[in-house]
Amino acid sequence: MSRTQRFSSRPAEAFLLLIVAFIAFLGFTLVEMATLPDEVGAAIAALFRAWQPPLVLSLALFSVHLALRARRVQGEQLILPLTGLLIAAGLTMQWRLLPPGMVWQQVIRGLLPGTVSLIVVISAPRLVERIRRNWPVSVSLLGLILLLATALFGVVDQAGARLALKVGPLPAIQTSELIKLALIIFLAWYLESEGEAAAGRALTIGWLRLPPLRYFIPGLLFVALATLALVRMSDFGAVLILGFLFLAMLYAAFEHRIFFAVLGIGLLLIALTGTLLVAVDGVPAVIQHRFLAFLDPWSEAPLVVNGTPTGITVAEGPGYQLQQAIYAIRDGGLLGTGLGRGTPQFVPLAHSDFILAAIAEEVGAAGTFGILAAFIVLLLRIFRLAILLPAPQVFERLLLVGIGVHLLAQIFVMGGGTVNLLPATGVTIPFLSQGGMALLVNLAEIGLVMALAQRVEPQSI
Amino acid sequence: MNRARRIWHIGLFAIALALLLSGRLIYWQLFWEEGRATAVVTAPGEDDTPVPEPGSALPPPKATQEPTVAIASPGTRTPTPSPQPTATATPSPTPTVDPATIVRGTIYDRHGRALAYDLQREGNIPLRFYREPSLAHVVGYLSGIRKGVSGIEAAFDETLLGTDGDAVPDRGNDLYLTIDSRIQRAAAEALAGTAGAIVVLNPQSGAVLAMASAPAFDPNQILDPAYLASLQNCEGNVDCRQPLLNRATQGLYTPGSTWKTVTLMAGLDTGQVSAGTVFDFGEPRRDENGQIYYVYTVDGFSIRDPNHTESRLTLPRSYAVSANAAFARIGDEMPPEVMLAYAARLGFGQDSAPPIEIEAGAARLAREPQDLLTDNPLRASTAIGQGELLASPLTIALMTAAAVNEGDVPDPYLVETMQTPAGSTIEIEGGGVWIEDAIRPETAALVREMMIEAVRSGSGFRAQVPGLTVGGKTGTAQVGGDNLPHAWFTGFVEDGGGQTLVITVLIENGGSGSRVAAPLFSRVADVASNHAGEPVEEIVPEPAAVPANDE
Repeated sequence: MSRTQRFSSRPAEAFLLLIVAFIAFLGFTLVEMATLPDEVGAAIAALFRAWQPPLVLSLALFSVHLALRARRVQGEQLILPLTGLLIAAGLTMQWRLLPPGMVWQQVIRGLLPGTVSLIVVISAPRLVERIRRNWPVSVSLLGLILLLATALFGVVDQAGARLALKVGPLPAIQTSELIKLALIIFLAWYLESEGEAAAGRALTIGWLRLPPLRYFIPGLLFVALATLALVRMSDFGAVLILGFLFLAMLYAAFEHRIFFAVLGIGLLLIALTGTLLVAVDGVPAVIQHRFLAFLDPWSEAPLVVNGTPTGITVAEGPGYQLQQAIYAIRDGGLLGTGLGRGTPQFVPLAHSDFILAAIAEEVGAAGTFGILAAFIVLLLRIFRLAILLPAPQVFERLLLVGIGVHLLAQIFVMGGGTVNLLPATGVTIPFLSQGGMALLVNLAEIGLVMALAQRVEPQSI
Repeated sequence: MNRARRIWHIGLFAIALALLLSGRLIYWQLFWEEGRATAVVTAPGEDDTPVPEPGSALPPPKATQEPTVAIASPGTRTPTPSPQPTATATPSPTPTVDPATIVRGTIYDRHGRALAYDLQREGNIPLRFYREPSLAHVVGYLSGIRKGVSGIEAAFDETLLGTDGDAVPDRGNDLYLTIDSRIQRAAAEALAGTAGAIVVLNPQSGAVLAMASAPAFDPNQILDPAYLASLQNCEGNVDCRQPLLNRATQGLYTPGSTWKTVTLMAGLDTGQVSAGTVFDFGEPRRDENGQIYYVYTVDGFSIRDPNHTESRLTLPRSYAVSANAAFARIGDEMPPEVMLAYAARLGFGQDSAPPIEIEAGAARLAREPQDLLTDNPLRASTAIGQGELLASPLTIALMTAAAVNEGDVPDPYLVETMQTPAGSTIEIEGGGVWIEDAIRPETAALVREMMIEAVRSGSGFRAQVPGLTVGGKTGTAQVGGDNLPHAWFTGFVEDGGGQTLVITVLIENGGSGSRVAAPLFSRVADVASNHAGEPVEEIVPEPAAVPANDE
């Protein structure tokens, strides 16, 4: 492993990527086998069509692998294969549920630009430093402006949410994904720059130590503004995620005992958002319905929109999706019905928000736990990097924590919605759900993680 | 290493959350019992609003000599059976399909004009397009997950999706409605600028040719939260009064004098009154403006009758000029059970909503119908359509239909046929008779004559249509407070060819039934008789906001 080598070797990563590629091909083949035509020629043609997306995925993963070797990155050989595994699982389920055109759309709008951005971020190690030194405010402001523009001028999708910005003939951009990355960068920068000053001036009330107000007021303000915009966009999953991010990063940044302060701020944020909702517009019908469906997916309570009975009940409306998700999970059992052999298409939005239900039906509890385990290991590897980073790099460390927490929040908020642990909100599950912009942002985040991995002394893997 | 510990805390937190998710998943798989049922697939439309056995809860007409208090009337809406847990060994999910991905069937009018259909979009779920916004309440609209929320879209959700069979479809069934776009448009135009409803139906078959409710909404924009909010908040829009409500079937209003027709039918059918009955109203009184009025007093409660100057009138004239004193007296002298029985028989029974496919409300005879047995003033004011009565325009139209349908109340219906993707046409059950022999055919013929008289020489003269036979009854329903009365007109029009149509017009707080509602009846009746089936000018509705392509 001498520094003179042109390429560092990353044997574990290469081996694991091979396994991931095999799993991707296997998954697509199994999906295709379920509906293979009898005629031999047509069957072979169908299989060849089905092997193209995993081929593209494998090439993308190996090109990242080569880029890492070219940069002579040592260590951290698990994150890339885990990411690849999750994307493979997501694409497989999408191939199962969607017409091929939409899977290719995901590849072209999400996977390929995501891979390119990953490689660019890895190959530009000064990028993180640049962001930290020169651009933290501009990046955050840009994120906020994008968000406000979307809230004001965005296009409304069929579910009634306003999540995308459309400029001219370009395809609409899902701006609510970008804002989360901007918030992570902003918080990391702000908490670092205020951290030194704040540490000495903590308010001590008995055993409780509160950080000084200015330590988190800009963060609160940013979150409040973003929340306002997101409320108008009816994207409540994103509001939850922003709150999650803010609290977790505050917790990770402050030097002193802060758990109860974070808890208090969390409750305060919930109360504020609630008051805001009631004061500004009344609790939107969407939220009321989701909450009713959460309390009892089979509820026969009549649905009232703006004081007018719609003539349908919760069970026929918002409860329907949860019911179908629960039937899907139940029917999956331990090992699932087999890829392509269940009926997850009965779950509305099984290809995006409710993809965990589709996975639970076709690969069972075992497969779902595998996916969750992959996520958890990925998170822990990211947190491990944050801990191993040499001492003064507070910004970088908080950036890693923020990225990890972002992934965690997405999984928990939407996964919880799928299994009726939380009210359902429209959030995508990272790497799994259909959604080009979300995949692009998540891959860029992995790029930042791998860029920072270069600063860590290589350990065993 | 304080921060390192903190980061591990977050890691532990992540593991805890993952365990929570896993635990909940395991719960659904292993420990969830009560839900282990195959959910009942409810058939669309009429199946969950059971068609009543005609007249089952009522004695036949002759039995009114020994009347029973049959308040529980035909058509009592039984709640949809909730899914019964069946301990099946291999539970399976409801055989329904993600509505978002299926091409829903098209909804046509009776002449094959497409009213609602899916626009196909490249690489995206289809977009539902509604071409006739005046039918927003009848056709209904879809939710964000493309499930029918109201109207035909909800009642026939599974038919339109094609999921009513066993196979998983990729295209749903088409529906042909009884609606005639030309008449529908005329009804909607007649309502322009008002709040109200117009129903046009065939009294023999029950086919609804037009059903308009105003103010309306644009179903193409309904998923836009801003638009929905504007319907709710109605900033600066005085006309905006619950636009989502289908006033024709769900709006409940004091029926006013239109209800004298019910009193008339009951009185004639039981022999209490006849065409030769003469009413003596006693001494005329004059109000401060010198206007003559009469008063009918029951148990110290005075009912004022300013509708005529004569102190003696026959029954047909009393009906034609809408003499309150005459009908209050009929109601007062009528055995209470007879009133309850005939109200139920003519479609105003307690909890007895008309069995139409879409959402409909039941009329209310009184807050406590039993009060009518003992409360004479309440019965007298109910007999002239005031009291505590509430009825929807549809129920008034159905009652009117009995007069021109030999005494049978028709079963209203909106969906004529269904066409499968394979091209075969299937009749949808519906129509015919809701309540058979509600009144005797001879009574019906008499009432029909009196309705014609009321339009020829009575308060309904503004409803006349040149060259056609028109009969009907005005209604000016007092609603209390400073509000203007509801303006009603219900009646029928007969063209030369033997075709009869019943038309009911309601204008909320519109004022006089004779001045406001009767002319609108005339306009709609003219179009319905002389221009039915003609093409309509296509008004292109605002296109719905194009959803993002990315997600």
